[in-house]
Amino acid sequence: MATEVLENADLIRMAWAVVIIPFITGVVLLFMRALEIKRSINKDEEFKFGENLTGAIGVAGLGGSLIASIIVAIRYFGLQDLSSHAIEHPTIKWVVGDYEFLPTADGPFKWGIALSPLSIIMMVLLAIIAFAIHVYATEYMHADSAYTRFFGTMNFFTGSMFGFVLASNLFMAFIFWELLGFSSYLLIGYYWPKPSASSAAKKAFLYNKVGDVSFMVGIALVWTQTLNLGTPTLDYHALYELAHAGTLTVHDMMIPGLLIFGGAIGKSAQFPLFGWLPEAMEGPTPVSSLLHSSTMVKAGLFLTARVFFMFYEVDDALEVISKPLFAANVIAWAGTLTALAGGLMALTATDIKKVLAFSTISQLGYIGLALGAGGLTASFFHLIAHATFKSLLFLGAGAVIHSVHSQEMSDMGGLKDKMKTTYRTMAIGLIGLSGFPLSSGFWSKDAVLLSMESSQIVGHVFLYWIGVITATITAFYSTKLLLLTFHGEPKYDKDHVHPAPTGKRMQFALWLLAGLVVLESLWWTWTIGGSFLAEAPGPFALSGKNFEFFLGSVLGQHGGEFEILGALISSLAVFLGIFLAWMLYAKHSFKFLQTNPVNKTMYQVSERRFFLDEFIYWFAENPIMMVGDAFQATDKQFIDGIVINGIVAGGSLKVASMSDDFDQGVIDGVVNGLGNFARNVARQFRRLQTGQTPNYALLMALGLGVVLTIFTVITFL
Amino acid sequence: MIPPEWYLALSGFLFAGGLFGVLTQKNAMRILISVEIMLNSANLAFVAFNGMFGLTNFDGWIFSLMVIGVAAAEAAIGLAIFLSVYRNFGEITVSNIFGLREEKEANL
Repeated sequence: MATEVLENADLIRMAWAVVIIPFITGVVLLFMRALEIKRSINKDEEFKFGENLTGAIGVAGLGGSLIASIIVAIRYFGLQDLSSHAIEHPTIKWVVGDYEFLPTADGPFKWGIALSPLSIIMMVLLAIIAFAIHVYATEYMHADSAYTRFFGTMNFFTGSMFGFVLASNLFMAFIFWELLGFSSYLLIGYYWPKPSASSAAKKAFLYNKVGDVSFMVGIALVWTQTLNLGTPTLDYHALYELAHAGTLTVHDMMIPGLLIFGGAIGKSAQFPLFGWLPEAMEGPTPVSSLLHSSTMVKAGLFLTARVFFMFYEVDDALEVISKPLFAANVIAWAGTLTALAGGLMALTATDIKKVLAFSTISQLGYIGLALGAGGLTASFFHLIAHATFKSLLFLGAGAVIHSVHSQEMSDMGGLKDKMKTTYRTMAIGLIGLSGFPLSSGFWSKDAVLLSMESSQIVGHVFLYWIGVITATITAFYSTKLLLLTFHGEPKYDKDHVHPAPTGKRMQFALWLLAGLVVLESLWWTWTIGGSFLAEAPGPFALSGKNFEFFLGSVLGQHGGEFEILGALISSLAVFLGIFLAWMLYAKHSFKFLQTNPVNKTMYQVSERRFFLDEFIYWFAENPIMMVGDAFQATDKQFIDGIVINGIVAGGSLKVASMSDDFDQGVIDGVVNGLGNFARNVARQFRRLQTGQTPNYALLMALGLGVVLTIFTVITFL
Repeated sequence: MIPPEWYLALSGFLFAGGLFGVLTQKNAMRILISVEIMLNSANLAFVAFNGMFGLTNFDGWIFSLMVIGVAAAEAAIGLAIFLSVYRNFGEITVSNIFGLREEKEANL
């Protein structure tokens, strides 16, 4: 795909506003929180700013960002030539505005914004979802003791993600990536007095750190590689052009690419570092919603998509991405394992939020799988769909938890009539998640599976079927979630819990996101399905093409064409999952599935998360501690024993005693000697001072006698 | 005629005796008397020297007159001091009056 770079200061300024507005409101809110704490201490009573005020500031930050991002998106796509003729082979214009931020001897590190279709779409998606979640949170977090801190951190978090998405180079991306990790730590540990919350925050932070280090080393290697070529750069566009021109081959990029994907493994909870994501449910539900839909966990995959040229060579003539490399295989296999493992773990989770968390892991695996298989467009397609319905599902789960005061699905049930809005919106979200035919998830999942069919990676057929199995599992737990929560007999404590309809603002957010899911479903059915049936997309087409084709054009990679067979297979998989779940949890039959011993063992394995966390803990405790012990022993015996105690301490003691001797012997000796001498002289003289007048007289006489004698002698000699 | 050297010898003897008195006596009055003896020995020496060399002038005589005056003044002042000392200390034994000395020998 040919690209060119435009300079457009106005657009860049507007894009900066998208990043900076949430940061400003976030920092203002955090300062307000500091003021609250200070006043509470001074006055010895709880002081809080009004929730209306702080909530309004928080929402206004995201609202401003949303408006700015929509303006940026409209103006950006206005710059492109997207006529139905040009869309076949478009020349995508990037808008880049950066400046030299940190000059080094080899070349400058830059700071700035690069607008490309990928970042623009991600930015708008993020702005809409984050705005809805903030509106929701104003009501959800009502009467929380640290309401101001919540909104401050949330704004900061979203601002970091905006910065990461819009960054023009890997260096700036890394800084915002770290800010993202830091603010997610704050948000997961939001209820920090709870030990589980603080340890969850720590766990998330440490798991992410593993990825961060890998990412950092990857960036350094990219810099070295480009330095060897004589054009040191970290800019996405410059790197893309280098890769495109063939100067920077994928072989050069294999190790850095893998390391950067290592960063994505940490951040996006890919196999084997997904242990932190279920624990991250300790944060308030809006945080989970934001974290799982469009910010934190998508950052890693977004990054992988951004540096996609490191994994695949672009065949210019065909405009398809071919020639997968070893790195791509790693991504695909990691993604597959993640998808399957996440799905299986979701089956046994009993906590409603944890089901959704494992489901996120599974869907992230899907996205990674598509990326590894070469389906950049498919993965981004699924990313969009997943972000919408997963944020909706979390908000719905939050509403349920808010009402039932429990996260366990065994405490729910029969909420269908009590919470109508939540039920309806969550059903819409779950239809999307399960990939029910013609829903948004169906189209995106189909694209993912299609990308696997046409892929050249090792064992792609096997991966395809795992993808299909995962689709069944997804449908199964989606149905199970809906049935256990909203259908059946109420299992909550009826004396204390009175489920009530959700509040107005929460309903607004739920409907906004549910509307988005419906819109996506209809739009994609209309255009993709329409173009399949009638060779022409329906009236809502983009540039006369269906959505997937349009996305493929602007991202520079086209997936396979929609096939009825693939759709049939995935539909059947989904129906199978729904049917099984329905029989088990609605009809209470098929009990043999639960009671046979093989499944019981598998149940336990899944419940203990495939022992992966335990392995990581064991790994962190034993081999690493062994190395640590060895280091400690060396330290104690060699460094402390010989070097420190023997040479350094012994030597300095000797020197010290020598200088002590010199001090006491020579310096003090001279001083004391002089003093003693003066004292002895004085003692002799003092004996003259008897106080006896005759003595004085005698001395006078003797003195006179001496003087006279001397005088006489001198005179007469 | 008695040779003048004899006068000088007597003067020296008296001076030595007075000095011995000053150094050995403890009573202030005795010391004062000894001092008077020493002064008078000096007078004798002056007069003797004047007789030996001063046939045309009388410097020695005049000096001896001056010494007598001084001795008188000294005796007057000395006695006044002794009275004052007696009033303050209750005695005029000089060996018991050593306020100029430090109280005890400090261990420096």
